[in-house]
Amino acid sequence: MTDATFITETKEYDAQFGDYVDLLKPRVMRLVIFTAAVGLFTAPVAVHPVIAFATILCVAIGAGASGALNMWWDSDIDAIMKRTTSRPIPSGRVSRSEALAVGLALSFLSVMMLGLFGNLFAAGLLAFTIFFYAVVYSMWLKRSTPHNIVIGGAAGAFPPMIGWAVATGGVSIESILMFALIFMWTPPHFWALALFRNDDYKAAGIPMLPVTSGTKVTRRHILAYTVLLLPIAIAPAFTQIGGPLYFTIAVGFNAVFLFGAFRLWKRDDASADADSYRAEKRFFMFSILYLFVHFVALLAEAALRALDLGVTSWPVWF
Amino acid sequence: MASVVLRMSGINKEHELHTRRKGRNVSVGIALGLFVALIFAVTMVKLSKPQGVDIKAPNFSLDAVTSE
Repeated sequence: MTDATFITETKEYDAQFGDYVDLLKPRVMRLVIFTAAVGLFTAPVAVHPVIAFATILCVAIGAGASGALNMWWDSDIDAIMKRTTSRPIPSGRVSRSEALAVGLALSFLSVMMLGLFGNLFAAGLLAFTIFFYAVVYSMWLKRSTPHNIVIGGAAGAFPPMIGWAVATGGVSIESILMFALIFMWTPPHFWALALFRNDDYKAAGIPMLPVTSGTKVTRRHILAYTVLLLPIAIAPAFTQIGGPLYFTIAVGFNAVFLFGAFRLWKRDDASADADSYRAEKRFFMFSILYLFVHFVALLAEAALRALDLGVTSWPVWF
Repeated sequence: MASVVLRMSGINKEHELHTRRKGRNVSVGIALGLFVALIFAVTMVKLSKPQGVDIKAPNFSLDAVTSE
């Protein structure tokens, strides 16, 4: 008897390593890695570079694992929506059971290793993040309420908090504000996407705000959340991790973001259709830059402090 | 080695499944190797700290521990 005796599969395509990597949503992982790194490097406690690398890797893999669990659960609607038909499961590259196995295995591995490399508090936060994204958001909120991304946005907001927890072992006003920044940014970001992907969400039966309440209400919500985001985005400037550089960048980018939200609010479906949702798409793209720049500014402030170039007379209110 | 075993068992050709999965198997092997290297590196860092100091403790401060 040889090993060939056991081969009964006649599949034309076997999942390659890259297909499993695609299960982990690499684009989302990039944002997670970056924000977790900012949380870790802005913390007032130095972490050895090897430990920093290992713990950020754990957070990235944990986030990827929750992405795989999300793809396993949502494979039916992913097959309907244009944006997601090329994902590994609907395109037939990876089976559902494989995605579940990868998601569960990497979830346990990432949490366990973060507990060993970092600390138990950070590992607990990562476990909660995975649970929140896979169970609370994907299984419960996504298909049941138009406020799915408002509450579900918390899952994407945890990484900087985990990075901070790796360094300090706890939570503080700075990490809460970094969490709040991503949390409040998520609704305008995704509702802008939902405006020009409305047909997709409608076809898949996902109760996104434009599907349930119409585009007018959605535009109003985008403006309202952008206004609420403004003080949250500026507040870190007046904490230990902020400074004049962050303040200047935050004020500038929030002014542009607010103006964009105001423009969306003034528009109607007719004008959006006329230019193929140009303003909505630009607002969506700018929102990505907006978040990225805020975290780059925090990193720059940390670098300035490390080089003793920080402004000592800058007010710290929180 | 594999080719010797195959020759001895009278099989002259590998199943095409082996060729098809080669890339995946090599990638998984590399990933596991990197994982081992990472654990080794972290172990070295943790062991290089003074004995009795738990570097994963919250708000770790070497001064506070060594002054006790």
